Amino acid sequence: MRKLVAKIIMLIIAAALLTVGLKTGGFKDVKNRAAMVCFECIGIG
Amino acid sequence: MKISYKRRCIQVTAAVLYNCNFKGFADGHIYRGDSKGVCVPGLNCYSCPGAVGACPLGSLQGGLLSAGNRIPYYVLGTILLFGLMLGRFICGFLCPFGLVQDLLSKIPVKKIKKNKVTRVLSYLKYAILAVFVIFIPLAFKYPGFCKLICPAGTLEGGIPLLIKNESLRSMIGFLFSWKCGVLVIILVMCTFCHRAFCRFLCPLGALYSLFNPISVYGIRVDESKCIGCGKCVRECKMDVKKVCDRECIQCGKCVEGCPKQAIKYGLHK
Repeated sequence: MRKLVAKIIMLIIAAALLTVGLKTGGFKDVKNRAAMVCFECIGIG
Repeated sequence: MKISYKRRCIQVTAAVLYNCNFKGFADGHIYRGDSKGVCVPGLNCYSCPGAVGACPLGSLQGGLLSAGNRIPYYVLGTILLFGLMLGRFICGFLCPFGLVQDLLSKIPVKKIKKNKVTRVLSYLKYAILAVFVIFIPLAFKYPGFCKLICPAGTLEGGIPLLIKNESLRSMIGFLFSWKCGVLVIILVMCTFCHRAFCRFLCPLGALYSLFNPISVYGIRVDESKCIGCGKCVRECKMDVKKVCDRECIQCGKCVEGCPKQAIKYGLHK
């Protein structure tokens, strides 16, 4: 029962984080970063 | 159909789906469409020419780099949701670098079996998560894990891009040699030790492991059928102490091996 409650609370937190993130431009931030070659990732940055 | 066969099919499908910009491999340029704003669940470098989604770890570090301006709620929410829904099922089924490690462990050489040392080493990934993914981006403003360790970035991003892209090739320096060295060491480790990167180094696995015991979907044990023979733990190649603990990647070896069919995939209540 405690696990179920913890799970539900965390799902609500995840949904809230996603909603806030989407509203504050998180999707665009990730997209902008991922659409450029990451020099550090490929080892030349 | 055997679980191991189904798992391999799902792993290959996931790797292809994450990297279905085949044109990128031919022309040496990365995809820039809207889907790049969506994080995929597994470790898959977004600088891979084929990648059509974002790497959750790269996005998290990128978000923390600019955390002075804004907290990366979107990435945190995505990782939390993936972890809660599937836990380390993602490592076993949906991670392209997990597939690479599984294929390497097929090479017929003498393997290092799990022991007390590997169990202790399995805590190293939490230190890597804390230092390279969280502390370094916040304190020194560079993506520590991506820059210094990530083998997926070198294998999926660096090598294919540099083969095809001459302008990038002219920028190669010490860091690329460092990353190639790290990649080779990790690949050799994975040949001799099953899923060595997952077990000892992967910070994404460390994050998902926190949710493994409470994930919505995963492996569960029917206590009424279990006879406590311990075959599940003995057959498992990961450093598990019991089925579905933090080290379990839910590969299904225990499901196939259980003499009483007490272990199944399903929804956790």
